Amino acid sequence: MVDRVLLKSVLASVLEVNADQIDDESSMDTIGSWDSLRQMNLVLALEEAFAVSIPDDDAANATSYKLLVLVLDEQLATA
Amino acid sequence: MVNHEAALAVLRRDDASMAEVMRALTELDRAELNLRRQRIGIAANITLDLLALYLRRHAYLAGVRLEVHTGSYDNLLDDVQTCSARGVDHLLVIPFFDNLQASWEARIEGLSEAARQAPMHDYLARLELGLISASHLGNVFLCGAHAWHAAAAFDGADACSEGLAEFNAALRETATRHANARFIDLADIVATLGRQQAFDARFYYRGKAPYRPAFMNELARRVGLATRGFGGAFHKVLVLDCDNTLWGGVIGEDGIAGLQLDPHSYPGNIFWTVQQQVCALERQGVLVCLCSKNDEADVEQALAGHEHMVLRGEHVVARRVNWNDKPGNLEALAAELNLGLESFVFVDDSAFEVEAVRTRLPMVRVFQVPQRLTDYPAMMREIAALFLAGGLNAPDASRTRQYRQLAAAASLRAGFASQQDYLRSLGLKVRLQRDATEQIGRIAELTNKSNQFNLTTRRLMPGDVARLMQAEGATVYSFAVSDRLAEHGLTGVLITEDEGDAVLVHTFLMSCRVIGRGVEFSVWKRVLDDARSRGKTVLRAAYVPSAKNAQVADFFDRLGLPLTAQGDDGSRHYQAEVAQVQLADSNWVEIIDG
Repeated sequence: MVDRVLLKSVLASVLEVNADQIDDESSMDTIGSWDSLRQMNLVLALEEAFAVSIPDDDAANATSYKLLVLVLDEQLATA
Repeated sequence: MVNHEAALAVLRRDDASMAEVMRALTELDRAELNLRRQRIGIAANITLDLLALYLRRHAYLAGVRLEVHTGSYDNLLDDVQTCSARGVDHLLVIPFFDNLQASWEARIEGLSEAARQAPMHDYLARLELGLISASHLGNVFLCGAHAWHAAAAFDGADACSEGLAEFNAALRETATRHANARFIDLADIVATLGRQQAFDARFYYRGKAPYRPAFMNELARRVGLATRGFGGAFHKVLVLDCDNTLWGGVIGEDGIAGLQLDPHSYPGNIFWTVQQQVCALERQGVLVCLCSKNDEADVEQALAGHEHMVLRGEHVVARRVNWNDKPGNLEALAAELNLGLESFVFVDDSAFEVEAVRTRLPMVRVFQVPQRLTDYPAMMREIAALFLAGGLNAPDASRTRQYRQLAAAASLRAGFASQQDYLRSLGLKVRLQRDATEQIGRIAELTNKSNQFNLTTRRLMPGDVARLMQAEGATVYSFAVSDRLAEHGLTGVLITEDEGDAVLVHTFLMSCRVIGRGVEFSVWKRVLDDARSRGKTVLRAAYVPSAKNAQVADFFDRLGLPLTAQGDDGSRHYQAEVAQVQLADSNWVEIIDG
């Protein structure tokens, strides 16, 4: 299972928001600074923080907190 | 205090993660520190906003608070001119070879000589114009282009490798003709990191962002070196410890005969190599000093009498060989040479001495002889780079090479008297369509994707676009741009709605690919013509601010519409008489209706 505290902390750093502003409903639609550029940075930062490699399609499409949890869980399970 | 020290410690760590670096930067941005400020601009034909992060990292490490202006995407001339008008201290120009034209490396193989040279020629022509406007900036760094793919031919004689070589030769030649311009070799960063660490294909093909963080970090580090710590340090003095720094062994214990300096055996060959490097720096004007806890007579004897010493007494401009503490000795050397300690680089093998100098004299650049001795010559190369960045003369050998390249580059260089001449030479064509139903999907997509050049940021679904196309009083203009170099595809959308005797601008947006060439002004002539033919007398438009569209806040002013009102939210409202309004000139753009 993905370390949600770490996930929120990386999200907070990359998106420049407070970690306590991030909840299950957070996504590109709810966080103003989360655009497609930040999405790239986010994927790179998460890959580094969790030592996983996020597949091509997920990298572009996992644009919400819930989806990121799913993707990271999947990668950590197969790692 | 504690927080910002901790943040700096994070930035200093080679293995600090991207998220850690971001947090540390936020911390330092908040801290009230009395730091020098500098500004750097970036003009690139790719997306590399992460570079700002790493530039700021290396700037803070050099004691500088750096403001980074990342330009717009692939808009060289505008970016350079904007940075030049803002008076940034440094400007980075980054041409990504494979994106000179879409998938350039894949296309270049089958092209004729002329077709192959056209985009390079075009880039260099724009660069030349830009550099003229940037002649007052402190530093302009022209980043050498490198390949995205591995070379197709094992001997490097394929069209892509040759094109790259010509392009880089022309960039170097450009750098020699502009006093403030210098060439930075990016291919060496790719070679150092390897393609795996340097590139990310996912984000290159999705978002034109080819570089991974490791590449950005290394590029930023080298920019820091090339700018002498972002304009801070001008290194002149190299201070060396003796035992296990200049030679292997401890002279007071091993005696002069026991020193390791034999060029033909390990580890003597390491120290002998390092001494060669030190002497090379001395020949180029670096002031070499010694600072050692030893009996002076012992050191004197080694300098004068050891058969393998490369460094001799006459190379050493000042020395402190005694049993006093090193920070005090360094201060004494600075006083003797009448130079500031910030121009000093100090090398020692002892962690204790290194730490003592680092804490007591933080302005001195300190290096510790690496644990793994075989890395020592590489570290000396880093040190050499610090001094060379200060503008010591390039060796004559490289100068002759530059002259040879000059001839090769001449054919790639163009001369345009002005930006308009250049734009005219492009042969810009805009194919303007009205209510083109076959493009509904693509138009809707553009309204959702465009952020920066988007005056009203109204997001439309395909159904909305279709409805507007069918509506009696609305027109959906869509336009595709091409020039002699490339087809840019559907790049802009303009929607108007009639209201009484007025025409309202519902939407105006463009893809960032073609901004800055006058296309944005050219289509309005047709809008006015259409308005007239429908019997409308007034054109109304508004700029509605969003989080991302500040760059077009004054677009309608530049177009030539009179401002009539401004909202508290930053919105700007315009109204013009259709019969009288004078629009900005863009007569180098040809409009094709159809």
